[in-house]
Amino acid sequence: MKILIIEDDDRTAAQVARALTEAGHVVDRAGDGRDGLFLATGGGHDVIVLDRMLPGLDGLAVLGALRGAGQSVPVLILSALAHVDERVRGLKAGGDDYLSKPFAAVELVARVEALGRRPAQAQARDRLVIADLDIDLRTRRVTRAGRAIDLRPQEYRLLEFLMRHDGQVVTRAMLYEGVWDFHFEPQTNVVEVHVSRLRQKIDRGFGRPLIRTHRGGGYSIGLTDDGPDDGVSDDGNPDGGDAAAGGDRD
Amino acid sequence: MTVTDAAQGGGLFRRLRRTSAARIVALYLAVFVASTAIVLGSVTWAALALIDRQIDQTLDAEVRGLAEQYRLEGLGRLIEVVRARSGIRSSGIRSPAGPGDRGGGPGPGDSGIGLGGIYLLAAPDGVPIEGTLSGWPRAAERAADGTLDAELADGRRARIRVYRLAGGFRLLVGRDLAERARFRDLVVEASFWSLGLVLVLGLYGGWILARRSLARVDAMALAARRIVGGDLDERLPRAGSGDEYDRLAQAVNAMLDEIGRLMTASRVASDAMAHDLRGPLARARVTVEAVALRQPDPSEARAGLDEALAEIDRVIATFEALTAIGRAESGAGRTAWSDVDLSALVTELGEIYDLLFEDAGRVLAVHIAPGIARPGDRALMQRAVANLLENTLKHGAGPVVLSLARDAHDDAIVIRVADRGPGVPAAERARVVERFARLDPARSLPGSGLGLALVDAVTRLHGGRLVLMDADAGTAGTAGGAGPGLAVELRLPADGGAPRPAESELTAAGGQADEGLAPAEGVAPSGGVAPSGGVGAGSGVRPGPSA
Repeated sequence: MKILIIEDDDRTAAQVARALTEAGHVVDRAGDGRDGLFLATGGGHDVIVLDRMLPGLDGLAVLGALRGAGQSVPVLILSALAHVDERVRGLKAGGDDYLSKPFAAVELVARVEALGRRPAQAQARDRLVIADLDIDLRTRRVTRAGRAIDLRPQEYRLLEFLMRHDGQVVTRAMLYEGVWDFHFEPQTNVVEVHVSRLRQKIDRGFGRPLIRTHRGGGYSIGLTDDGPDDGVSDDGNPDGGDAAAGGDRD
Repeated sequence: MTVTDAAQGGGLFRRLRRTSAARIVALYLAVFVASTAIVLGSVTWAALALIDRQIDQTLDAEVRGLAEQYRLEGLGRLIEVVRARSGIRSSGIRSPAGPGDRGGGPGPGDSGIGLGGIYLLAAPDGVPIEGTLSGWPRAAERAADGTLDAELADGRRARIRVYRLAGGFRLLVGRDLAERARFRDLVVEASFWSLGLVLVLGLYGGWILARRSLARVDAMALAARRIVGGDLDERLPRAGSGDEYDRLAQAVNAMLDEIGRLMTASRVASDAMAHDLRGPLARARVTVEAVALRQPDPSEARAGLDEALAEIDRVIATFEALTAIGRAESGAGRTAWSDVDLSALVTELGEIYDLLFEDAGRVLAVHIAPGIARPGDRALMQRAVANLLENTLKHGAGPVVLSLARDAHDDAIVIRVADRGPGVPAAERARVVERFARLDPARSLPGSGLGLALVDAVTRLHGGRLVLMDADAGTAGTAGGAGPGLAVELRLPADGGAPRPAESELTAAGGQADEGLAPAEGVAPSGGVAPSGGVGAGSGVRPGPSA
């Protein structure tokens, strides 16, 4: 994908650019709001990573101008302002996602890729299917290889979120926000325990595992051989019996 | 000290001039002086006017009397009368004229002030015939008839009445004004003395007043300077009279006490923070350094970096928690408040954490009264309750009960998490909600020590209070427990500014009676599903309109 980074801090910009380049994307950079707006309105970018506090033109002003010009390119806002109020402001101003500093590079890449794929997910579906795993969104019925799987509500929501991001890495922070609406990182391993439980139910006894753990605290769902190869490796723990002990960050 | 005193003494007047007491005194003094001057002035003016009027009336009466004598008895009689009256010198002796004599009768003008009668009868050509004057005063030479002030030939000032008699004779009757002038001088002098006295007394009183208040303020300022200088135990002096200065000092002292308490707390917290952050940062540094310098094999390097990453994440989490506490304590972001469905929120947290307790081999029982909502910051409330659950997950033991109910006594909303673990000694309960406070002095257990501090800050932001107690207090048995257990109650005022629902009593009763309520599966209690237990009446009813 072609990604525009609007960020005044050179080191942050370099880090972001490097992470995205390593993930196989093409990166442009603007050092302030005016250049950023100029490059952004030129179009041709799949995703824009926008810093909020910029010299020249504030990030939200850039966003407003961009949306005013009818550009619907997905924008990920990057900011040191982390509180829910600030996120809400950013999203209301037309942002599509909000990532607060400090952030993990893997998280940034995962979110940018999720934004880049958004048009594909926009279509309303009432079934999600990956290999032989099948969920009916209306009845909330989950089957694998034709066998019904009984999930708790929290497990169902987790599975649905993973399947909606089919083939992408989703980070723990994305799961906290998307599945549980947590805007904080709990001290305990909520994600690991739930993923591990989900794994037991949908992967155990079904041959090839579908849920993969990625280094740095991300997960993806999909068959191993047609899943994305974005440089992160499988943790070699397909059973996932105890994700907390699987070397993940705690 | 003496230098300071001297400087203060020398500058006292200058400093007094700048005090508000001095300004008030000056203002009052000006008002007093002005009003006294107005009163005295108007009295003087009225008295002098009265005297003038009396003189005029006397002169008028006398002239008419003399004119009558002339008309009735001729010039000879007039000359006689004028001669007789001219004989009276300022002696206070009344005119020898009889009582029937209107002109010379005892008029008001004769009562001591209008003495010194002046008379002159002149021929039509102006030649004096009889009287006390040797010639016409210059001012009256041309006047045919009328009253005027004139200066006499001998320098006296007089009020005179000129009258032209039939046949061209001219008559002049006058009164010496020296007495009037003396009276006026007397009154004016008295007025000045009174004004001076008012001024002196006012200034003196003001000086005393201003100096007294200045002394109190100086003492306070001195104490304040000592406090600024580092003597934090110093307090503003109080006279003990309970006056406004005492009350001010009391309020400021209370403020200083609170500031002192906060400063101590923040010093302790920053010490603890330095300790808690230095630990993981040092470990991360050592690990990264080892990887960088020793260049171990890839899997070892990888493990080291993961470890360092985990340490850095701990540091970030600690900072993040501190920021959240700071925000909650400052009350910032109240604009983000909305009507929070606490029943749904706590139920969901119960569902999320149920699995974790199960994983840890423990049981989480959830009792939620339905339909409880109040305004608040949803994200912070969620985080606070999650912190309580994580706290018992980390430090508690045995079965855990998470409940949400209304207290029947004070109608407070109570979120309670109780376990059967070692509990917290009563003496430590106030301390554990402080930042970085931990029961474990070696800080060997995981956790930042910020969990309860955040819960406390969030609770207070919502106008509530956090209560810690033994879990077995008031309940029978300690089944499955290793200690007294800990119950943490987050008590929130029910209204929080929102309209009080009419069925709150019902809901409260239901909330108290819902023993045995299982955590609802995926359905918020407010969704209309009646949980098991005796809550049928109150369930499914939302408390008023949600904002």
